[in-house]
Amino acid sequence: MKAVLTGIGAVTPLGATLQDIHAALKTQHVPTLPSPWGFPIAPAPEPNLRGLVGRDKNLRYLTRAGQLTLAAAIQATAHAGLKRPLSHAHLILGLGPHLEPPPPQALWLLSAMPATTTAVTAAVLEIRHEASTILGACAASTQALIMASRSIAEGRAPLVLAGGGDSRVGERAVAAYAAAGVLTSTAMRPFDINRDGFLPAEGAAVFVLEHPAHAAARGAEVLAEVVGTGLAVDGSRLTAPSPEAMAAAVRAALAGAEVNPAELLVLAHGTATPAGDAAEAAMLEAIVGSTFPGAVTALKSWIGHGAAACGAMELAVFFAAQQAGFVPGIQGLCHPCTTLPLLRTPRPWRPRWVLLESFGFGGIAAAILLRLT
Amino acid sequence: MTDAIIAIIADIMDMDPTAITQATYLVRDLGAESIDLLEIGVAMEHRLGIPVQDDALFLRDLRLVLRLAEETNTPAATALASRYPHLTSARIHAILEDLANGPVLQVADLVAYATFHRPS
Repeated sequence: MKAVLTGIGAVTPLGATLQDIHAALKTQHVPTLPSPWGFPIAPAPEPNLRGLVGRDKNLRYLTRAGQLTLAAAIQATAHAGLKRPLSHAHLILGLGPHLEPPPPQALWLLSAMPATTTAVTAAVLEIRHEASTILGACAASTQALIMASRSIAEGRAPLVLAGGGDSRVGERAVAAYAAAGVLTSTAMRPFDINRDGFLPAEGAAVFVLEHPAHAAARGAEVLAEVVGTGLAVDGSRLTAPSPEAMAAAVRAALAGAEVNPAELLVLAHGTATPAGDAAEAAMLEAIVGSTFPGAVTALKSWIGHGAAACGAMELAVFFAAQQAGFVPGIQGLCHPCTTLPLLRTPRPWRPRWVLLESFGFGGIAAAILLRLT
Repeated sequence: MTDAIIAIIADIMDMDPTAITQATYLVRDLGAESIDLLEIGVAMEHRLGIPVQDDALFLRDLRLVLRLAEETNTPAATALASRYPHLTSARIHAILEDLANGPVLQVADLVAYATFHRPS
């Protein structure tokens, strides 16, 4: 039995709600700001936690990433029509390390621990069953979606909130990525021959996943079904992309599904780094073929790189565009580096199948295949 | 100073500052836990520049001081005045009257501490 997706919550640089993201996608404008630290960044709007949560003294230990994550989780439960307490739900969040200096607090340790975000989110949503924190680098939130789908498919949980949040627009985070040589000084151009790195960003997206019987029993609208999942790791390469791990994850996600390639949309990881996109394009060409009749888009070109949150955020942006029946194209793409069918402009299309890919430092690769309803 | 202390408490406890007065009890009225008091102490140091000793600021060793006073036949008010020089004699007598009702710490005690220890 597969898991179904019944709710979405997201805060991204394009907007603090799905409706705002949907509206911003029509403007063809990538929300980029110059930063004092030498590289452009893509910050997210304020998530209005006070309005969503009310007063709660534990919020003082939430980092920016934690605030965004909690807001997305609350939105997701509302979107799915769920009411608190969610005592039988699981929570699985893909998060990242807090890289900025600790706040002046006695218990700054709590702010520095990603698990605090998971704990506070569970407390606010009155989740009492299981809560896990996944730290799988830039694959973390996709990994969380995969763990959630598998928990449901294996009968371990009827209802899981899964996704992730991150913030990489502060001074230390930007410096860390700059040291790795992966940032653009202008704009992201995924899969363009002139790409020169990514735009550091922030945001969060959380999804409600359910056992189909659980969703049916409460009359929930099903947005998609999780059909396949793939995880792989190549720990021998900490920063270089691992085509083998990428391919293993993607093949595992596609295995057994009778996908009509013409109805498949690939949400590529597309970091716009020279090495990352080259490896991903070669991997995809080998798996789907150079005459692939579906389409490939790269939504980081719209929202920057959400780090641990990127996969979940990109999936949420895709669903926001689907509210108006289109798929966003790749911003900034002029000279493709591959013969893959890259979307360069928005396409009115409701793909039947969506493959989401996320790859992280440490050779962590995650891919998830959805069938849309 | 009162407004500054109330602003810190409201911020840490995530409360409406207008619900807090000098007479508000931190533990009895606001339900402050030890972790909250720790944060209030750090915020007073960080935002107001006041050197904080948590035991004195939060009257945390009050009952220990009183027991030692009893053992050494020292008047309770004298022992408290010596340990907490920021408290007035009137406040010390009020505390001694109030002991049976639970933790005695009031917002006014934090204001008195901050005023007494304010860097010159």
